[in-house]
Amino acid sequence: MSQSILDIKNLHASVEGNDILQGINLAINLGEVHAIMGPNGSGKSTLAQVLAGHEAYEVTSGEVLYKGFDLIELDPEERAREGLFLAFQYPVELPGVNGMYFLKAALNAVRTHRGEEELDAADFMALVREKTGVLEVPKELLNRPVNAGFSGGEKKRNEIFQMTVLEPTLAVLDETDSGLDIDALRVVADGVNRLRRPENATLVITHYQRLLNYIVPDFVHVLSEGRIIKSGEKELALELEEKGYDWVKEHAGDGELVG
Amino acid sequence: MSKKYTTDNTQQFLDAFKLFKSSLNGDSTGLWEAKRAEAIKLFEEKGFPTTKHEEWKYTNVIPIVRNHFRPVISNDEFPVDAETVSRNGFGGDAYRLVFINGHFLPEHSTTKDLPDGVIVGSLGPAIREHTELIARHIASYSDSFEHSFATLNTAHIRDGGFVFIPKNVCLENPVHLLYITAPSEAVVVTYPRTLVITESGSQATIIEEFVGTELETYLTDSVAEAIVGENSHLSHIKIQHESREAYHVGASHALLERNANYFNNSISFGGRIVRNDPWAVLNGEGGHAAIDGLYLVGKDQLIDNHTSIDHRVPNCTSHELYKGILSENGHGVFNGKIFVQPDAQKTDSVQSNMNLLLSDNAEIDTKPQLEIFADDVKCTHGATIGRLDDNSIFYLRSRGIGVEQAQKMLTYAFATEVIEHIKDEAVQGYVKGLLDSRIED
Repeated sequence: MSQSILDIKNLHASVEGNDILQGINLAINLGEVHAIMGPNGSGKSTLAQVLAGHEAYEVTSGEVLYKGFDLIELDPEERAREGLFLAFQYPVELPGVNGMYFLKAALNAVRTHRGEEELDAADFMALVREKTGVLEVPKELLNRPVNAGFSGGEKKRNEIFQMTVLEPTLAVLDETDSGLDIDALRVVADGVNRLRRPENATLVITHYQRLLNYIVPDFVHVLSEGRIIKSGEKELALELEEKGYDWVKEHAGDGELVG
Repeated sequence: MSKKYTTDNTQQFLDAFKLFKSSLNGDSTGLWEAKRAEAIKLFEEKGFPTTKHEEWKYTNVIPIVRNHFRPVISNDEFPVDAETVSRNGFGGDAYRLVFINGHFLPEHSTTKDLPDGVIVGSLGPAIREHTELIARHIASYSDSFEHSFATLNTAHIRDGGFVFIPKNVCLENPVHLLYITAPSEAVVVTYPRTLVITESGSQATIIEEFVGTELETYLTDSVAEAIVGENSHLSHIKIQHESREAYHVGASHALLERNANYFNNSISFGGRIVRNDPWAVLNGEGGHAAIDGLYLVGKDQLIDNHTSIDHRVPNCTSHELYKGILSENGHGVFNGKIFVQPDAQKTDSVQSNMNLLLSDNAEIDTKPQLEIFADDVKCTHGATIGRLDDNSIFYLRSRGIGVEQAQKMLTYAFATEVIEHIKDEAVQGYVKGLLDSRIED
């Protein structure tokens, strides 16, 4: 039996007094890629923010176990140091914060947490080269201030680049594909696919089936009005594309629930 | 009541002036004597400003001037070793003049390998060698802005930094004027004076650095004057990291001739009460003045920046960016005057003052003051006061960076824009290091 990395049970969450998540159940095992699809306003991004620990989102009931920890009790930085990574839907611009300095600080925070030595600039660069492999190290992502003045595509690429260097145990991609042209989409998908290993897992949150042509998920879940109303294997995404979300709503419960 | 205080305090400074004058033992020039006499008379008439003066509304000078400051009569009083010098200032390649408690220290200074015709030296000896050149410019501008402290500085004129860059000479290394106030038994006042002249087509970077070696009370009352010649480039960087118990009142005055470029960057870290008055006068067409500043204001500190850019002729541009970081009960002031005189058509001027408040008890008073008397000009100004952005902090935390480090990173990031306007990379790196250690405190 596979090892569980994330176990969400009956999760309810609200933002500014509005109940958005209304009982999410989702279990992810190591080595798996899950996709969550859903229309606008179904709670996709709220789920991502709750997992990352944004203070504006209040968990009102339910629980989330991550690596056996009570995730809700952890600060955002503690979650990150334990290997949880959120690729933001709207990455924040940090003018004045140098890209390399930022990523080195992030990596060293994780390393210190694991009891490993901090890396200096030279060792950090060597590690970046090693992890990005055959791909050229995108110099502008290291030399420029983080995301400042970047296009939408550059920001998403930077999220994937950070993910590549930080090598999370669980990566949550919040609509990373939205607004990307096909070249940028390939860069993003390639980054995710190259990290895919038996000892980690990925949760891809998306509005469009197109991404799943490039990142082939093991499981697909449909989110609607704060609940997962249908789960299935990768074919579900195609069916959804063809028949639309209304069809799923009508046939909620037909599919096999995962976990 | 306040009037009486002012009068008393004035007398203290007049008494100290007599002490200073008698210490000179006739070792002086006619020019200096004339300047001093004129200035002390003016000071005696005017005294110190009170908060009723519009220009001093936020800065009450009584806590400064009620101290019985005395000038340091000679170097021998407080000997200083080389280590004290190297530990307390910019250490990069530079032509360096070091002053301790207002006195020039030739043994710690270096002016080797200056290009032909360039003068970098102590104003004291220079007045004898270059009398005419100095006489033409010194104290011809600074006192005109009715600044009691500048007048007092002129009254005590004796030593300081003198820099002359002849026509078409580009000075590669910066000139570093290091004004140190070192430990002493008395409560001392120093009057650093700087005169910079860049002739047509020349280029130079001048660093005025003010530092106190110990936590103690003293007053630095400084004046810098720059004559930026036609088509010349002058970067003037002021780095102020005085003792936290010190007072610092510093004025600078730059006169820009045709097509001159003047970059003034004023970095304020230290002091209990600090007042900066950088002035730039655009006096020839095609000139450009960039007046930038950064002030970090912490516990029990007041830093007051009163800037002024005076467009007197057409077709000049000016750019101003002042940023403040205010923590604890720190109090910051920004007052930015832009004058556009009737002849100064086609002026293009941008002013911006941005403030980061890190505490509910901190205070910032920001006031743009545009006085425009020409009709075909472009002048914009803006002021912001904000806190660290929650979403930015969350983004950093989501990458494993702790709250405190995230706050420091964003605070540093806010400030770097001003420092990055310093073109000399070594100086820029030095100031970033100072900023970093301030933020870590």
